[in-house]
Amino acid sequence: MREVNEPGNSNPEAFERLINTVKVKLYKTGMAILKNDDDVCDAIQETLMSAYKNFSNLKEVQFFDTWITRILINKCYDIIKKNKKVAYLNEKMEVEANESYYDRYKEDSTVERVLSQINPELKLVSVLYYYDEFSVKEISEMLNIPEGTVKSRLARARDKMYEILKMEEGERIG
Amino acid sequence: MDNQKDFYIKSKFKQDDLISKNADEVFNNFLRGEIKMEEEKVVNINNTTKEKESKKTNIRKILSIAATLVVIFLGANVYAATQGYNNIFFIINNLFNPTEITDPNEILTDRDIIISYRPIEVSKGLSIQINRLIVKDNEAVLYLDVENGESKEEIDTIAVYDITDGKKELIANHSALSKKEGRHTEEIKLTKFSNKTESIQLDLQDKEFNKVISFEINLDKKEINILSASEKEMKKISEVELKEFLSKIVRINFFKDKDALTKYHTEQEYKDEIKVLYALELLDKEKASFEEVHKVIKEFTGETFEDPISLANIVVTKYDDGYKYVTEKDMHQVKALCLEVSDIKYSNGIYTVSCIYTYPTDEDYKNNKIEELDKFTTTFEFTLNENYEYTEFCVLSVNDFVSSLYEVSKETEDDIVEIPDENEENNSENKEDNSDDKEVPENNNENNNQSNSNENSGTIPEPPANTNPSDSTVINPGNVDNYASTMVWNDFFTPGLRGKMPAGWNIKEFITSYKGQEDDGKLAKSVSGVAIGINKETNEIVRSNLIINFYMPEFIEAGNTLDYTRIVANRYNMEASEAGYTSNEGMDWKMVVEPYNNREFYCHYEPMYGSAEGVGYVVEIICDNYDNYKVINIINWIFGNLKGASF
Repeated sequence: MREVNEPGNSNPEAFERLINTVKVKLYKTGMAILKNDDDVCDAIQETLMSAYKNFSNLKEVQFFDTWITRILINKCYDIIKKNKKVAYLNEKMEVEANESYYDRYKEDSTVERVLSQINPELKLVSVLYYYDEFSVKEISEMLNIPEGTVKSRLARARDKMYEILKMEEGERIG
Repeated sequence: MDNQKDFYIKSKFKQDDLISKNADEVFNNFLRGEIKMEEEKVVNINNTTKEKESKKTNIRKILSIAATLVVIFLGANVYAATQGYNNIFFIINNLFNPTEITDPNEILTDRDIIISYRPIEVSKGLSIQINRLIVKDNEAVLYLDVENGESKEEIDTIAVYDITDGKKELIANHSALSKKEGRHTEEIKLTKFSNKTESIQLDLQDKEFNKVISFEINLDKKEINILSASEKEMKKISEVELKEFLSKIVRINFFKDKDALTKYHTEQEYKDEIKVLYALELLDKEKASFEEVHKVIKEFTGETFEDPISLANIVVTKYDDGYKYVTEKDMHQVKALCLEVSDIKYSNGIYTVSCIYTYPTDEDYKNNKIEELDKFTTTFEFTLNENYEYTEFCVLSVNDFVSSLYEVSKETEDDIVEIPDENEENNSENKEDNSDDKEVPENNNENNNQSNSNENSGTIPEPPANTNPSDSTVINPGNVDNYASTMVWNDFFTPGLRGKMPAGWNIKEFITSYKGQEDDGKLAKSVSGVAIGINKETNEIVRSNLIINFYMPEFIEAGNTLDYTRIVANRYNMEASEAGYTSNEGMDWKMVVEPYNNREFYCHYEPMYGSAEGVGYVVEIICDNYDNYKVINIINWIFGNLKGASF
């Protein structure tokens, strides 16, 4: 018989508890891909619906993080594709508004401030490894890229991020 | 050290738990809204049950019916449990929603696998191209392009497509569209496809359900093996092999690297050496008879050589059994790696393919740094050899490579950079300068148009359509400084030369260090860059590596021919006299003889007043795409006009 806090048993409390443990991680991951708060909110909404709908069938609780992050990444990519097809009439205004939010967010968020200074293709891997704390193997499976690629991207990101953080620390102390 | 850095970064990142108010609301609304709604449903059901229980009824029939229903419900739940469901409602739900995902671990990863670019002739008049497999929204679809020709002979028509996975379990059974002639696409839904499916078998059956042909498709390696064919044996098709071939052949483009220019006299010499090298690699020999090598070259380029080719690093040595090409063991060999092939088009037996490649060293492999290297792209044509001994692929446009210096990145369209306003102003100033020139040849006008088109477009031009590797990969035009149209050009004037120079190029030494005969004829300054322009009509980017050498002015005594030869040492030769010593019309373009056919000289002689003596000035321009007249236009654009400076 399943425990109440295990998935597989469509227990809303268990779902809520698990979501609360990953919600900031999901947000950071979404921002690393989309750089736009509204889009990230849409992706999160879609992810929650999809995850909740299928939660009762998740067999292993330890895979919850990987599973829901994978759903989120797919939803983010869907939004990117959709955005490419849609041209907003007030696009400029919208972009400006989002940019100002993003600028503020970047100022306040260490993660985004650091990530914004590295090559865009290294961002997602970095946030998954350093913030979400997934293993190289998990990231490789999640993004469907070879482990070697994940490692090389991390290696490239590591020195740069370390340097940025150290510099920031130095400035604060100085 | 890496672990320390990892730990440090993680600890810094952990301190950041910033989440936007909107996103937080999304979570809270969902958790308190959607889920609560679900909870309320349960509570309502319970309340209703309690209310019902509280109503006492004396009607035994109702009780007995209720009891029967409960027994049925319990029995159904027991049955549901044996089927792996939580309760009977899940079975009912599953009946009404048969396509719903039953196991989230089985959510299909989105993928787009291009399997083959080659149509396979199944029988006379019928060909099939197993195009791609797209997994999207948890649905896998295999796309086949089917072409029925207009053959009058009776042809096999495919009625059914069966697909099985590696375990020989049927994952799709598809009835063919009823198209008898022409080309159409079959979209086959693989209903039981899973993330673990590595290979599939496609069986094509005719209307009497006889197997016409079977293919085994390896989705990882993108290979198709013909398992059985009704008429003729089919060849194995492999993207892996194509990539291997391209990795060898794109080495030819390494000549675009300016270092290579110094090691070989001509581009052709370099290309010939690469061909011989490739042949020796295919033969797996360090030395091989020239006839044997030429046979291989004939197979992969279609070119015929009768006599041994004279090369810079591979020597032809006479042995008892004839002349052989011999490589040295420690000979430096350029390594190239084809990372991606895409945009493959086929027409009349000729394939056009785009390839993204890089030049890794052994160190790069060792340090796993391939990803960090600059990537380039090129497009070329090849055909397939029917009967071959050494290689299936025969490259057709080996001497006609599209310029390859596009830097490739995965960045988005956001990265397109607008030309700064100041540059526009500068360009308009330049135009005014040009209008003062006495002679404006036709192609100079064309060239000005080119630059104008750049100004008008307002953005860095996109590369030509035929070099786009795929929709998902955006070719970044590279460093914006490389673009003639986007660079800031400063006018310059030195004795003997007037034109425009990129702002960063310093020719100060040339201007200030005229010291009579002291440094006569010596190289004063060498600048290099990439000249890039646009063909206005085709929007095609034309580029060339460019080296411009400025030589110190040379004092030339009347009648002393030795002096002027010192201007450009032995390379100048007779060109100065051809240009005319006393010409005041400006410098002229001159072609010099082999092996400097990619080099140009501006030369000018300025007579001294009242004397037969004078001063000679020389500028040497080396470009690796000289044959393309548009490159000359670019250079003209830099220097003003075809006649160069008028002074």
